[in-house]
Amino acid sequence: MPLLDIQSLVVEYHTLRAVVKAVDRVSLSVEKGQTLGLVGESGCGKSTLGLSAIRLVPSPGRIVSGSVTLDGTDVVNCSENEIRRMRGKRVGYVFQDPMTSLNPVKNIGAHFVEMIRTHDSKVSREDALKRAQSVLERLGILPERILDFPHQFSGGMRQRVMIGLALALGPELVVADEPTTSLDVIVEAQIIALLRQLKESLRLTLVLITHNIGIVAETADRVAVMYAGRLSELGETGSLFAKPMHPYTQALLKSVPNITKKDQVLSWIPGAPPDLAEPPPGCLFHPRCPYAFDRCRKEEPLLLRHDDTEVACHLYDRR
Amino acid sequence: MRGRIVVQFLPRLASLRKRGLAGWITIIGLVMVTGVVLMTLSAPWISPHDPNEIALGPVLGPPSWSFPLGTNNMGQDMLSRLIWGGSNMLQVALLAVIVCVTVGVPVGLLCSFAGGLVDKSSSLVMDSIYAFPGLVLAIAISAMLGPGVVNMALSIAVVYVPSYYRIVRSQVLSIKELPYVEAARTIGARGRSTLLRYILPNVLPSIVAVATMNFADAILTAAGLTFVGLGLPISTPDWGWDLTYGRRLLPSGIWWVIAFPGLMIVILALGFALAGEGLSELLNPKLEQ
Amino acid sequence: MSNILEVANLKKYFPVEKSFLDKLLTSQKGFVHAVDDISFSMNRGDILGLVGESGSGKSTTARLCLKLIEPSSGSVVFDGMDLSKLGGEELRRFRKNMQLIFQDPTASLSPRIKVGDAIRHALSFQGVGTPSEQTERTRAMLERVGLKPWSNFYDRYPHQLSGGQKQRVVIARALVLNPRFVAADEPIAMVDVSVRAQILELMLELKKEFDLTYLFITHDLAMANYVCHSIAIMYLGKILETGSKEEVFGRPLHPYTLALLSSIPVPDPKAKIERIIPKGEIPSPINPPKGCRFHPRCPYAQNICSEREPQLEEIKPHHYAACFFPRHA
Repeated sequence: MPLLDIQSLVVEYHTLRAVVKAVDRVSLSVEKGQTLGLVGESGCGKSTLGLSAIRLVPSPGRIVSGSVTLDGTDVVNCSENEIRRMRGKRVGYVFQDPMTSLNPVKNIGAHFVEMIRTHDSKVSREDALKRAQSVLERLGILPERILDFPHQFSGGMRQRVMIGLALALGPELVVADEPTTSLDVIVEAQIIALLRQLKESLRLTLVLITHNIGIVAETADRVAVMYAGRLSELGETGSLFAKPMHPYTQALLKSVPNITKKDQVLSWIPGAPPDLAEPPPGCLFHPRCPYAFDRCRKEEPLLLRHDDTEVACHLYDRR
Repeated sequence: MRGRIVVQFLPRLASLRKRGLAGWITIIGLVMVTGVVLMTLSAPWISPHDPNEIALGPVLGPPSWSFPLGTNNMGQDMLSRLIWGGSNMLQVALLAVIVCVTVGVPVGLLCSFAGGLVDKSSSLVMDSIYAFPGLVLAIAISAMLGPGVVNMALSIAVVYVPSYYRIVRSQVLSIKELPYVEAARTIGARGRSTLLRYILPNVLPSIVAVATMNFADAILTAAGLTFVGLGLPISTPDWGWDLTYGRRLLPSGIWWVIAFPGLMIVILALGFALAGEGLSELLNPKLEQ
Repeated sequence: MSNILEVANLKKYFPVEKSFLDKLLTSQKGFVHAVDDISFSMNRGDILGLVGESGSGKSTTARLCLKLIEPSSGSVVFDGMDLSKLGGEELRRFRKNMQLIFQDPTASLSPRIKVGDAIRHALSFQGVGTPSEQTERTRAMLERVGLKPWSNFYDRYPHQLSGGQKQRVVIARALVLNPRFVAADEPIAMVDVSVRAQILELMLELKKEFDLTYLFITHDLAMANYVCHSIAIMYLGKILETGSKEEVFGRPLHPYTLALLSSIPVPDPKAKIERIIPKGEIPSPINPPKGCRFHPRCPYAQNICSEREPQLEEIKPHHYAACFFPRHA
């Protein structure tokens, strides 16, 4: 049984202008010990999908239909108490911006203590702090820094603290939303190396949400590509990079520079992602797709399986 | 130019309803204010009697069919006094706001844009004025200047200018650091162009919010000044005056002299405040992801 | 081959804001050594990539070259003109020769100015042409950057455009004055991945058409490799290595360059990269390390590295590095 199983999830944002489907019938699953890279550009819905895993979609967003199952437990329909118990304990979340995700008036130790004791009030403050220190040590932060405040840490260190908070209660699943976007190149490499190391030593299941294709190539076992709220391709990393099937995936990979390749010619995708308040009919990518044909403009492609890869594209749908 | 602004404004008004709570608050506030203003403006036509004419009815007569809001101690019709009474207050408030905006905004803009010693010294002056309790200062200045609509407006304006200055200054200081201001410099904008075309338009929304609160405050301060006996000569019908007399009559159980003017003042001030709140929300929209 | 830009011993120190108590108790002034004695030159038609992480001083350097900030010391000579001699109105008018493309397309356009007007302002502020000529040129520029037809875009406000479109407006505004030199500060960092190459292609086309020289500031080595001719690597206010892109990225000399190159994620799962990831993070530019700035994190550091500061030296022909123990040498 997969650790995280999402089936036909629909998340809508009810804005004044229109109802926007931020996530439109997305189905994917992550097996224990695997790393899934969730890739897409801004506005594709990947962050919303990640937040759905812990039912933290901010209003005016709502999970409208579909299911999210974490190791058998129904995340969407369980009670408020149950989901609160799960957050942190069974799913750790690494938020995007460590600067704004940490409380500037609390020291790091206090963050951990609050988290640990909320889940188990019997744990004493001293024990909670000790646990925090051992977690932080794994992440390369000296124990005496437990009393420091967020502003006393550099960007990379703050991100390590965020990861530490996500791991403090020993969750099986960790969802990391753009964990390295605000970081410098070298620190980014350090954090990615750290995540891989933790993945091995703690046998974590990791969902890595990012727009950086390079990180995904290195760390993920499987990759899910999202576009305008829908899943366009889902497959094993090696095959996705070697033989991308969906035209969007193909175009995306051709637009990312690879410094190891000599004389690379970068391409781009003309146009812009659709306005989700007024989406085009049929395949959402068709206005920008070089292979679009009649069916694409009328009928929405279904996510179908071809060997190990799932693709939502009429080019592969021989029905 | 003015016509263009109005024409642009009307469809925006219509769309206010769609903007949720902020839109409703603005509409309600604007309706309240417009109602009172229209009533005051149409006084010569809708007022049943001359508000100054004495002995029209019984002395201190309660509300009745012939005098729906009762009469005061001189037999004057309270309804007529109500309809006419807002005129002075509105003039004072309008004048006060105009003076405030024409003084406070440019001073705020120029001093904070200039920076350095100019900024520091003007801030010192403004903060000193701001430190005084508003009504006390207004009373002091009004007593010095004497009665009259203009003088009342001036005393209120002095009290309120620092509020504009501060808002404008804080906005200018933060906008000054934004990339688009640096961009203006890069393409060769002179200081004046930068200030007028790049900074001022982005400061305006906050001025609107302050101005509406200013109106509300001015109404209340004007009422306060007449209540205390400063400001306007006795002959003019004025809600503030009626409040003063009405208060003394209250222990005797005569409530209608104070109640209706008081209610009007509340409606007017509240209307401005609501409109201001709503406008402030609307003009500074939260970004939708 | 004329030098369009010559920077010599350029320094910029920013004073650190201290609390009142600190000012009373300590006499020592704190300074951020944003740019600390750098020298380089650019030929007409060059594309130089100024590459570095945060705190490296690359953005400050660009602004010093455009005289948007005054240097603490050192000189910037632009096309033979010593910029320190320019001031006031003269400087304002000189600005039409050198322009800046900003990083954040949303923040670099005033939300209350129509996009067409924003471009036109460049022409009107510099007094170029009559009002109708200015309008014509603006319309032509809009179409030249791909916003066709101009009538669809001239009267729009920034929030009505996409990120990529906004960045085109920023480029149009910078180029409508026909400058000779353009500094681009992370021009594509905030644009969607799938559109970045389009903006870069546009910049390269415009370079040919307008005969431009670009100073490209970025932390993205892969992009710098794609677009630039030569590279200068900056760290904590210093230039650590400089040369052609083939040399600097292909046969790097400085350990920091090696570290940078081995840190970038490569979009190829099969690629085997030997990662030399240094420990720790970039120290504060207020108190940079003594000697070589990179020595505390350098895997090859020796005693001398903490005692003396290495100067930029020509280790190989036209390939300079500031290191006592350059690799590959």
